[in-house]
Amino acid sequence: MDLVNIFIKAAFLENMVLAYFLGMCSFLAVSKTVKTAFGLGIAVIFVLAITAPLNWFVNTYFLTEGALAFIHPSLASVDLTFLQFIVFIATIASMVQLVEIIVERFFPPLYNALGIFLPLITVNCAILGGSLFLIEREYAFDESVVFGIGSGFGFFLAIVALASIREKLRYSHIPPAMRGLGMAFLVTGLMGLAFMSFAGISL
Amino acid sequence: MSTDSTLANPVVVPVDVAKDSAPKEPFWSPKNKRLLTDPFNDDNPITVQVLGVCSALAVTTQLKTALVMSVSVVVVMACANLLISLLRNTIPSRIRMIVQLLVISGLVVMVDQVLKAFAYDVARQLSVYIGLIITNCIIMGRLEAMAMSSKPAPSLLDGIGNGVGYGVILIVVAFFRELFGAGTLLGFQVVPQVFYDMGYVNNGIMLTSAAAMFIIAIVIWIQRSRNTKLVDIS
Amino acid sequence: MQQHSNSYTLRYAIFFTTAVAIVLALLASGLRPMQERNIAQAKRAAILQSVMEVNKETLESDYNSYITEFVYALDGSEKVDEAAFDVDIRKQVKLADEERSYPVYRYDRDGETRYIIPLEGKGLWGPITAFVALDSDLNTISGVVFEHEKETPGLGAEISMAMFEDRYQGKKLYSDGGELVSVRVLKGSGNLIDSEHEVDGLTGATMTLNGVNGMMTDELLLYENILTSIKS
Repeated sequence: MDLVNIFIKAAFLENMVLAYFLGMCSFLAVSKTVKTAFGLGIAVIFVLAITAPLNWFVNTYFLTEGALAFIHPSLASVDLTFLQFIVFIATIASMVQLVEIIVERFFPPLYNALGIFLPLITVNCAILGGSLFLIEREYAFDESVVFGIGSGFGFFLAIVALASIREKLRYSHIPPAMRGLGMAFLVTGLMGLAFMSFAGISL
Repeated sequence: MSTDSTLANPVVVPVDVAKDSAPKEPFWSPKNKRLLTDPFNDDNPITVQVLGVCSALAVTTQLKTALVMSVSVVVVMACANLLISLLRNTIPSRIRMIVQLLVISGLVVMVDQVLKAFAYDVARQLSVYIGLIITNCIIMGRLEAMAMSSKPAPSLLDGIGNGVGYGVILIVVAFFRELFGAGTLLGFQVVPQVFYDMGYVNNGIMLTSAAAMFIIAIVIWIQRSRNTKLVDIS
Repeated sequence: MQQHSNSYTLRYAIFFTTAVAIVLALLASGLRPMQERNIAQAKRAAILQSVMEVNKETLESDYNSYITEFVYALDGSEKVDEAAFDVDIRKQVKLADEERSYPVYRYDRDGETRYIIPLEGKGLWGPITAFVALDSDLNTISGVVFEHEKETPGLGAEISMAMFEDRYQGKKLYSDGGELVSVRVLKGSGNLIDSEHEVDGLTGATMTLNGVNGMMTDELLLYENILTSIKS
């Protein structure tokens, strides 16, 4: 499959946030200002770009049935697929922990703005979803790299778009009870409906 | 002096002392009760803390799936909160996420393996929820915010309270989506055939995730109109 | 939260991961025989379910008395030395078409004969399986059973509901011109169907339905020679 196709598919047609509605929590909670949204978007691209190929590697060489045969032929019948969830999430958690340490050390204002939603990238279903999708679709190594970056880019685009809309909305006359989170839910729903138009395109 | 204050205010002082010297705090103290009740309204995980939204969108096309998911989350959250709270002083902060996730996913995968061996039919019904539970940020969110810094009893109550608060929203959303999207509730036909004969059609949009966003937005609207201290001023 | 030294962190991490890994490995290997038995039973139940009502108590005896297993090669010749039930289609899909084994189950009861074809495809989150039962004309679908492991409840998971499976009943595999075209599921729900080769889809389950189409057409078309050779 063409790498460009995979990228466009991952970023637009099958956008994690707006087409599959994955990774919603941090998407809604951290989209108040473009600045923090930008930071989280970059962090998600980074984590996805690393964990997608890493989990591909772990799955191919350790978890699938017969993968351990390279250590010793007698291990050929070992099937560790039941560990898939745990191992994937452990890889993701360690990467996120790494990102957290970097952000805390070098960008303290961003660290404070992201708050609990930085560690929560770990359980951002978009990230685990990325790893599981690429196994299910049997991507090769290079394809999984592109897929990881593409999905991350899709998340980045979506969260920056929502944050820009929310910044503009601050000047609108909205019933007080709908201000902030209520409008964020509504706008995301509308963006999702708009993204459905991509569904007709096949690459 | 001390005797005077004790006489004047005989209840408060012993309670304060008890609070400071920890384990004597009664399980059903007012503070602990609030841990259970707050998540219904003031501190609802979905509409206020913005946790667990993805699964709230995914499993709410039917009331039945929403109920199963709610119950599973309450159970997993109570157990995970309790366990992490017991371990909290031993967990090094730099690898705390990995430990938290190992506890959550370990618990869930274990239950799944046991069910697959002894109650295969139940396991088949539930195993689709495993991924959704492990990646449900509500669980890890509460572990980070509560269990890492609190004693086991309050953590347990916090887990149950938040799980139920989450379930309430799920059930409300699923109720409307199933009713308007499929004309059924819990699988039983509710909208009478007469309506369809007169030209009523099920609303297909209700079955998309976008509709769940709209319903949650309306829930937030109603909740914040009644409870104005939640209104976002910025 | 107190700070801990590097060596403590490292020791803790190693200890914790090994502990969890050991517990899970013991649990998984200890329960494996029981799980495998359950999985085999579920497979028998799914095969029978495509042709008859399944009764849990008599499942195994029903299966043994009504079902005969066959394995074919792509060109339609029979592979006598393989057991159809043990063919793992999930692994077969990865092989070249010519090298694969194609299992077929024949159901005989009271002079009635049906053929059941097992198929495998990809859903959104994991593999999906189908058992397609054909009437003795090897053209009309008499029943379909879909199985999945982790499709989204309420969306993709709906494929294994009777409501969806029943839509395939009575559909035809061959076009009027005698060409093997199989049955496609359409996008979204509420489509008007007037073809013998189409069924209505489900809302919000596009990826899962793509997987269903993948196995019901591409995979099923591989059985063309086999169907011809059974007929003659």
